[in-house]
Amino acid sequence: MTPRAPDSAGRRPRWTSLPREVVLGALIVLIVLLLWLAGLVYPQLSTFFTLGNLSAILRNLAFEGILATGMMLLLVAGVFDLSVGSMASLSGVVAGWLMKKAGWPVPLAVAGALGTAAFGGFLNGVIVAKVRVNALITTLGTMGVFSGIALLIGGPGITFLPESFSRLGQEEFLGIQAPVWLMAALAGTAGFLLWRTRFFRQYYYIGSNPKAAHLSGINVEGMQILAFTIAGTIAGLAGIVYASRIQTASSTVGVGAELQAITAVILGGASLTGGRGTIFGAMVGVFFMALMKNLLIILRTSSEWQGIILGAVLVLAVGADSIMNRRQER
Amino acid sequence: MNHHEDEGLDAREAMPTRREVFQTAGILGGALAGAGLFAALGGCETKSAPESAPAPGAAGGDRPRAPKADEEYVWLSANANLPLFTAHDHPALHLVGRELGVKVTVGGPNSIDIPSLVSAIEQTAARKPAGMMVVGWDPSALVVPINRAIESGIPVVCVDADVPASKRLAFIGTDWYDLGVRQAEAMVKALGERKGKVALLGLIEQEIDQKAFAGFRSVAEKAGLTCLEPQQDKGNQVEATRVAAAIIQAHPDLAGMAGFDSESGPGMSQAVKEAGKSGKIIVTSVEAEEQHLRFIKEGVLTAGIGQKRGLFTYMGVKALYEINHSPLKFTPDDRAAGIVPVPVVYSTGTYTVTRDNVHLFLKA
Amino acid sequence: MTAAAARPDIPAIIPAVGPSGDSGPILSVRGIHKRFPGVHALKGVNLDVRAGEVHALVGENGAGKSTLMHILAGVHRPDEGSIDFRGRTDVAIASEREAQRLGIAIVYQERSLFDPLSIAENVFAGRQPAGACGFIDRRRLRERTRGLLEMVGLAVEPDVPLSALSPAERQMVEIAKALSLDARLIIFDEPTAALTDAETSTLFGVIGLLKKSGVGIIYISHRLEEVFEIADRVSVLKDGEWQATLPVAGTTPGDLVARMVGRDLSVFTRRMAPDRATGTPRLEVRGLCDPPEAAGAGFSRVRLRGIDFSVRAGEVVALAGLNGSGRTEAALAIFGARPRGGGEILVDGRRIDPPSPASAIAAGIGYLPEDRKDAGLFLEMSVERNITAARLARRGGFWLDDAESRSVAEDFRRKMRIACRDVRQAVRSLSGGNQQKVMLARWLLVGPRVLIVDEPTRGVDVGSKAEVHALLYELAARGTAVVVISSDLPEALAVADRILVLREGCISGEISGADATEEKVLRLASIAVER
Repeated sequence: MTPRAPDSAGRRPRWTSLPREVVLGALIVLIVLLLWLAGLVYPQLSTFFTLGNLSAILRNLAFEGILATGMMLLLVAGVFDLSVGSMASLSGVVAGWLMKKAGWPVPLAVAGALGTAAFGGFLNGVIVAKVRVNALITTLGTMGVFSGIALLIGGPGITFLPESFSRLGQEEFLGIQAPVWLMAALAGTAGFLLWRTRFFRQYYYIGSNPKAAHLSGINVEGMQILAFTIAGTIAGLAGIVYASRIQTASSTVGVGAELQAITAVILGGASLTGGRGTIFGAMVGVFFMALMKNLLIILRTSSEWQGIILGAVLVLAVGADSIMNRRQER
Repeated sequence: MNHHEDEGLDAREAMPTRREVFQTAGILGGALAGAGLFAALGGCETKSAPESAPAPGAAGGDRPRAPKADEEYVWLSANANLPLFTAHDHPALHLVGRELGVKVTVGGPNSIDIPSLVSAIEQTAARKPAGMMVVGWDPSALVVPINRAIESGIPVVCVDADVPASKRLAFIGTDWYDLGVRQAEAMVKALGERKGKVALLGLIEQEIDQKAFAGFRSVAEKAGLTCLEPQQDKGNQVEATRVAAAIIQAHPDLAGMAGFDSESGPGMSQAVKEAGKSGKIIVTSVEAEEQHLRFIKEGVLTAGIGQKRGLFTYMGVKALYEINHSPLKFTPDDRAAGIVPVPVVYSTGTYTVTRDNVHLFLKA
Repeated sequence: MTAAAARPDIPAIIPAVGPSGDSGPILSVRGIHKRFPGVHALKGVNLDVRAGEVHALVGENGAGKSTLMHILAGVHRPDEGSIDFRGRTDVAIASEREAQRLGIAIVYQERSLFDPLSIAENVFAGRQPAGACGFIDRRRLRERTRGLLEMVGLAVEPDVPLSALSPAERQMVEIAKALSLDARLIIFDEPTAALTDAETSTLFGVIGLLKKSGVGIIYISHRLEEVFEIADRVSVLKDGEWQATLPVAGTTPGDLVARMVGRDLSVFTRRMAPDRATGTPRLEVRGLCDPPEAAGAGFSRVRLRGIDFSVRAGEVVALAGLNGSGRTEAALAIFGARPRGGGEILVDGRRIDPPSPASAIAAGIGYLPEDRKDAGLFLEMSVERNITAARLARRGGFWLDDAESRSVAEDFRRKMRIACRDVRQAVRSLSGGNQQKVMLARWLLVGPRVLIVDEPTRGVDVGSKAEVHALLYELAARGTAVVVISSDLPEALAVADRILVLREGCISGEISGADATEEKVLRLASIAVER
């Protein structure tokens, strides 16, 4: 049998037959370009490529970076979660409240907050997977519930959290803040699990075609619930770590963070229909967005332009990816 | 070609069983109950019994001295459940309601949603309260609804942020130009002989921020400091930290930073602290909430300019109340003449918290 | 006064032309050809329908009946041929709307209805009676709908949303919709599939009325007994060709069946099966039936009514039957992907519990779905990942061994001659035949004891069909019990040791491979033993 002859129906530009991974590669190339641009743009040439600056950029992307890890898992599985930002706020507030108002020892308070986050994720999972309400509507609802409860418990914020707690978020190793290391460790673990373990590989199948996955013996419902639970817990972790870093549990810290995480993850190769994406890609996406924002701030572009530029990049990346996909279809 | 109907694979898309429906209902009901509980607590209304019967039928320009039964004053804002409001504005609102024996209500959307605020104003006006206080989130979009309310006979004042183009009867709030001035004074004092660049952060599109920038510049530039162009921090702490950190890195010789919304202070302070530049970069900000106090105590934040927020609602209700009940008259019919028995601008003033007096403000 | 007075809508259909036959055919179709990619669906078909006549159209799956009807209804355009309608020669039916304007209506099997809308809105979709400014005149809408519903015997209010109706009631709404078009030619496509006897009688009553008003009716059905009850003439199509047009009075069901079949079966290599008479059956299906509420589930209105059969190791059994007979539903139920109301499945004597694909796979059953793109393949994923899909959830090991997966996939690629550049290629870029091979490889990898293949060669080119069959034979030779569901009679006859024929949710008969003929199978599939 000979391989199928090239598609004769209509001419398509050559670049569309490149493998999909090229978009990710292009993003990385873009990052390199931006770095070069940064060298030009910063008032003093040397100030960008210093440990201090890189460390600053890294610690200010750690929050969204941690959220993006969980979000990528969900997108691979073909779902997403709009409530992660609110859950981050909520779990930070729960931790703070348990520590300060209820007087619990720090480790127990953190455990309690993580438990809350896991439960919230579990709730999302059950509603989406078992009751079959669609993920957008479900998590839009829980987003409101979580942020409302966070405001209720946290009010204007719980300040002066114990030193022992804030040390977790403020310690530096090799000049880089702990939350960044945590993000790296989390991304590394998650990426490894997703890439090399049998169990997590199933998520790609679930995201690609849930019907076929079911008919291949994969427990689609159970796995979806697990994915939401994991994402919720990770969101909780993000919130707790951030509260530790600023030594305050703020009830509004996560507002808007979920959309940033989704954007980063899609730039990094995920598809809204599922079955695609890697944690590495998610991190590239997070990095790209942080770098872009950093440069735009230095260039003193208004935040409206930041939004336009980031939005345009997103549409271009997703559009290019979509065109390349359709070319391969029969 | 065959024209099959689907044979059976859609069995999975069967309707949910009754049990599953009840499960959802239970979960969603619980969630809604939780949300409803929050809404009830957040937007709570106090109802107090009026102290005496309404005054007998007043002629043209007379105002009854005692409150009517169910006299209601409504406070309307976007982001209505912002912690800043729930910590200061709302408690004062309830306080004055109890003091005067009137009903007070909180209204407006829970997000920065101007169209919802407009509709909230219109709907409130439709039920004819005794007076309305509007936080001027958008000085142009709110003109029409405020004017309509006034034309329908409801006294309306602006609090916290003004809508000067409207027919609002009074404005109760901080003088933001003055606030900028005070920040600059604190900064100049702390810098002493040092000169250099100062960064400005805030919700740059807001009129009050722009007034503050102008006030700040008037003092700072005279003292020889260079003010960088204002940066947007979206009123979000995470964003403020990110923006401040970028500026610090880009300008290693930065002398100071000034913030003009409630989240700027903590955000900038966090960035300065993490960059290891506490004390080297002078930070000043608006508000003196707990997070600010903490940074002041640590020496990261030099000065927090606090607003006397409680006054907005306290004096706001009182102003409206006076409009309705004041015995003072300038003409036989002040309402027809368009004269109000209250000041038109209440400048509620600020207080500066520094390391020297921070102990007076800390709770613990 | 006639019924016209009692029901205001009928005047539109009341006689303008006299009853059957006196003014020549209202529809005359000549030399219609229609080609789809790879298939010559209609090969010079002729048909004519007289006013006031019920003209039945029969033929087995794929004979071209639906294609012809779609041409008449404006869904497709013929490649060659002409259509004369109501005295106008060579009309071009360019769209569904055109067809409606000309006066041709087609009653689908509830496919054209919108659930959230009311009955009235559905019946008059796009043609609501409107007032002066274009606003919908709801009162007239309701009245006219009420009249139509009365006529079809549906005692429901016009404002009731469609979602509240049973499939049978929806079918009646479809009919009401066709009536509302004031058509002169109405085509019924398997209208009684979802109806009870009583409702079928009502339908026949309506058809009777339409006949009297001079409307021409084309009636497509697999149920030959219905054809004999209601039709005046019947035409037989086979493989896109017109076979015969006969007056119903002058023929028998068996005669029709004979005309529907009889092809050159040498296209497929006949299976030369050694007669394996081994002991315990490998697969046993006992009393398989649907749960009582299943009737409303999705689009499948088929109900399994108690299916029993068994398959021995090494046997190839074909499940034959017409559309809607329940073959795929039975397969899904055996595989645990469709809820069961009762019955047991045993593999090598052991029951499968709980009913789920995972436990079926664990017991050794594999299932290759009918629509491989929709429910079988992971289109963006590679050939390699598709092949290893079924063993993913099962095998113990924690770590993935990508090198091993790749070599396994390579192995299959060579042995099965799957045409792709690399096993890492996305499976969506493979041809139909090769995709099917990938699906087979998936199941071969987990070494099933039972393999159920649903339409193994659908969308597969001729060259690959033989290869797929060869693979199935090889599987059987190694001891797997193979169940093949096929709508392609020659295929079923060629591959099977035994043929089980399903009809309306239960097995109507079993024929051994050696004795089987197309005619016997089709007879069992379409004629009820008793009514």
